[in-house]
Formats: sequence, C-alpha cells, structure tokens
Amino acid sequence: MKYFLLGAITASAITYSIATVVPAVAQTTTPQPSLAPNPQIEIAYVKPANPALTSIYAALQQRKVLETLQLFLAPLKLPPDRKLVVKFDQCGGTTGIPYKQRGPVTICYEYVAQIQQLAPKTAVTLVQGSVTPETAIVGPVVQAVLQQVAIGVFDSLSLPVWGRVDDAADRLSAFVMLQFGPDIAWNTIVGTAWFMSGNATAAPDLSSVAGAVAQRYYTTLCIAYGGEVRGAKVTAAGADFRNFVQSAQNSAAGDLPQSRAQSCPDEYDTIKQAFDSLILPYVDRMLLQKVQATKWVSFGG
Amino acid sequence: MKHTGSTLALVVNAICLCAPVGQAHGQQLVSDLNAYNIQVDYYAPRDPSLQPLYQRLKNRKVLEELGQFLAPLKWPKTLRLLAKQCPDSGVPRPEVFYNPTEYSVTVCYQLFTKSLEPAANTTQVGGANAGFAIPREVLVGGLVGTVLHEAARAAFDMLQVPVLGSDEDAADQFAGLVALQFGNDVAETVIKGTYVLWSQYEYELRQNDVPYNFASASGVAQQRAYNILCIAYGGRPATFKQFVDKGLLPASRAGDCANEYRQAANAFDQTIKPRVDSAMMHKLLTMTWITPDDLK
Repeated sequence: MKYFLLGAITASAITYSIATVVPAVAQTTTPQPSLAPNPQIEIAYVKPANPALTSIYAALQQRKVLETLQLFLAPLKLPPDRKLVVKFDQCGGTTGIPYKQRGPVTICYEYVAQIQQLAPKTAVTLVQGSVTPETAIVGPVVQAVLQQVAIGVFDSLSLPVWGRVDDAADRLSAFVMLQFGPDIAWNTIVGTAWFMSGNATAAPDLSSVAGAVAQRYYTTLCIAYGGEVRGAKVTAAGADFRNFVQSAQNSAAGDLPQSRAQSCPDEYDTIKQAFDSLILPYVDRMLLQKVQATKWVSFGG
Repeated sequence: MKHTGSTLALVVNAICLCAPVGQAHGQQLVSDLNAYNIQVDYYAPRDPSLQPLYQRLKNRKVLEELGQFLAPLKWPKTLRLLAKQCPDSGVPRPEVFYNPTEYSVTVCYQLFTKSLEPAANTTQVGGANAGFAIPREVLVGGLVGTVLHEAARAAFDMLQVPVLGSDEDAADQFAGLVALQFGNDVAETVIKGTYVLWSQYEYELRQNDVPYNFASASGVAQQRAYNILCIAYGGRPATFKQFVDKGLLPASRAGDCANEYRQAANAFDQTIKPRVDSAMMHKLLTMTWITPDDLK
C-alpha cells in the first residue's frame, strides 16, 4: 500500500468535511421519474447524542444519502414479508456494529468521521491517477453503505454465503461500484482504497472474522483490476486500474502483487457469477436498466 | 531437507496404521471409484529419498481411501486425485492444490515431509502442541483436511457453485463442515490436525520473520487456524469448547461461531447437498472410520 500511504503523508490530511464535498452524493442529475423509492427499504438518520457527530448527521440528511439509496435499490425485490431497515446512527465510539439477523443495517457516524479525517484537503496526484477530497469521502461512504446493505440483503434473501460474510459484502460492493461507468468506478474504488490504506495502520486482530483492513484494500483493488481485465467499462484516460499492479517493467505501477493480480480476473468472474445467479433473480431488469442509466454521483474536479 | 527412510516410514505408517480411512475397519463405501468419476494416480518421484513414501502410499491405497470420502458427491467430470513430487518452489503451502484445467487435486509428497511431519512433531513432549493433539491426529487429520479443502475448490469449480466470498475461505469452511458431519473421533482428528498444520506454518513464518502477506487471496495462516476452530466450536460446542477453554479461540470470536457455522451449513445445504447422493452419504457417515485405538 506504499503509494496510497505516500499520498496520505504528502497531502494535508486535515479534516475535510462531508458538508463541503461538492457535488455530494445526492446532488445528482435528477433520477428518471419512473424510479420510485423502494418501499421495502426503510431508512432512518438517528440523531446522535455526541455533539461532535451532529454536523455529519446533518450533512448526510441534507444530502439525502439514504433517500438516494432507496431509489438506487428500486429494482431489488425482497420477499413480500421482508423489509430492510438502513440507518445512520451513533455507535458508541466504535466504527461498526455487526449485523444481526433481520437487521437493521447500521452505518456509524463514527465511521464517516473517520473517512473525513483521512480525506486529503486538496487533490493528491498519484502515479495511478488523482484522489480528490470528494473521491476520498464519497467513495468510502458509498462503499460502506453498499457493503452493509449487502450483508442485510444476504440475510433478507436467505442467500447461501460461502466465505466470510464481511469479505463477501466487500466483493459485492466493489462489483456493484464497477457497473456504473468509469467515473463512478474510478472514484469510488480509489476513494475506498485511499481510506482503507490510511486506516490500516494498527496491528490487525487476526482472530476477527472481519479480516484485516489491508486485506480489504487488496481485495477491492483486485476486483476492480479483474473487472477491467474482463472488459468492464471501468477506466478512462488517466485512470487505469492496471496501474495498481506491481510490474518490473512499469515503475509507475502500484502495489497489487503479481501473485494476487493473476487471480483477480477469476475473482471478478466469481463474484459476477454469484451476483448473476443469486441476486439477479430478485432484481427487476427494467428498473435495473434505469438505475444503470442514472448518473448517481458526479465527481467534480 | 533430506529425510531418513525411517522418518518417512514413521510418517506413512502413522497414516497407514490408523484406521484405513476409506476402508473403515474392513468396510468399503464404493469398490470402484471410477464409476463415481474419481480417478487415482500415483507418480513415481525423481528424488530417491521419496521412493519409500511413494511406494507405501501407493501400496496402502491412501488416495483411494481419500476418494471414498468424496464419492457421495456427484462429480460431473472426472476428479483426478494425484500423488507426485512437486517442484521445490512455486508450490503452495500446504503442498496440496487444485488444478482447474485438469480437474485434479494433487497431493505433493513434500506435504508429508515439509508440512505434516514438522507439524506432527510439535505434538511430541515439549512441543508447542503437546497435550493438544497426538502425532497421528496431525498426520491423518492434516492430510484429510487439506485434501477436503482442495476437493471443495474442485466442487465449487465443477458444480459452478456461486461463491460470494473468497473461495479459499469457502473451501476452509467446507472442509470443517464436512469433518463435523462425522462422529467425534473423525471430527476431532481432522479439526485438530488441520489446526496444528496451520499453527506450525504460522510459527515457521514468525521464526523466519516473514511479514504477513495480506495481499494474498487466502487468509494468513493464523487466520485460517482461527477459522477452523470457529467452525468446529460453532458446529459442536460441547466437543470443541476445549479450544475456548485453552485460549486458542478468543471469546471475542467464539461468541459468533454458531452463526458462522449456520451460515456455512446453509450454504452447503443450498449449493452442495442437492448434488450429493444422500443414501451414500448416510452410509459414509455411519461407518466407523477412526477410533481412539487406531490413533494410539
């Protein structure tokens, strides 16, 4: 993770508020009228008791992050008797609350605070491309929401989950982030990787089922690189996931080792196959097309 | 590392003198593995020091015995179980691997000399795992556990099983889950043997100051050791509470192991069980495979 860490050190990693990120998650092109909020997705912004988290609470509400999620998940059809509750909440100082059967899905304000804390104040130019403050905040917030919702969906649909649930949710969220064109793919993946690399400084608890943050970092990049190799439209000029692969020939390359990179196309295939066979049957294809045609997030310069 | 003939004999005898894994005290599940799309081959090693091991494994039909465990699964293509000398480098640890091009699971002879034997030695008096397991548990259990892991990858591949997580983690879950379907004798042997194998590998890495490879597609050795203990404790808490009591499985992880087991069992029921000959599986589970006397 040396390149992201280098970027984190050289940039001013002064707190960059989610409130000032422009454009924010919900300031998007207006979704097409035929997309309605998924009635099976219930949302809540729980007011935090900790005043230090109030600004984050207010910003997320103002940006209508969860309302946007309801529209984004419009195509998902849960079983008739199921609802999935998704909320932002204060988590008592921890950055994550494990999901329990039947939910709710909780994204912690403390986690968003951590994302803010690690975001650069100004754009950082890496050899692989640039990381803007928007990228560094919106990317991991999107990933966190998708990852936690994925765990909730696994439960709601009673899906067979081989492997560790958190890792499965990471893979699925990375896969989803790659399905909306190069701009979203690049910014959400790289923003997530930036946050994870900055967050991987403490010694990991190897007994934890969640896995080490460093492992999540490499898996996220691996799925992205694998998707690119498999032809997913995920890259644009100056933004190429192949530059994250270590290479003796390319000194500008990043730190995904070749030993891992060679399996990444297959790992992408695996998550794609799992999505197609397990989740797609619960997705309204017409609405999915509308969702994919919507510009959900616009990353300015 | 050169091994004396007597050391290799000890390794193979430990495997052979325990209950014939596939023959289960004179019983046999299937007489012809080829009829169940399982083919076995032993390749003579180039290294003369491995010849005795090769001969004993072949004469004792160890791969055929392992194949008995795998026969109830309805393999759509021929699964080849191979034993051979592998290259000195570029081979994963432990030295067993699945090749999706050939649909083969290869057991390297080096598995016995480089992994199983050193791991088994840690259960000797004064060793790190003394009192936790006995050498034969490590030799037999470690072998069965690693072969089940690679067989799981073969099953995921051939049966096109949807795997949302890492297929390495999934294969570990599969191996633990299958082991737990048997009685305590088999379950403890496989779980303990696999655990000691991973513990020994972790120990070697620490001794050689090798940094954790978090970029790897599979978890690091210590994580895999915890994972197998958790599946075991989650599926059979009374039997495997010893892991928690001994501090091998932290309480912070142990608390949710029942859920982890249920998750893996649900995945197995939905994706693998429909492809299993249930009558054959039932017979397999009711046969006596390993008894405490076999492991003395």
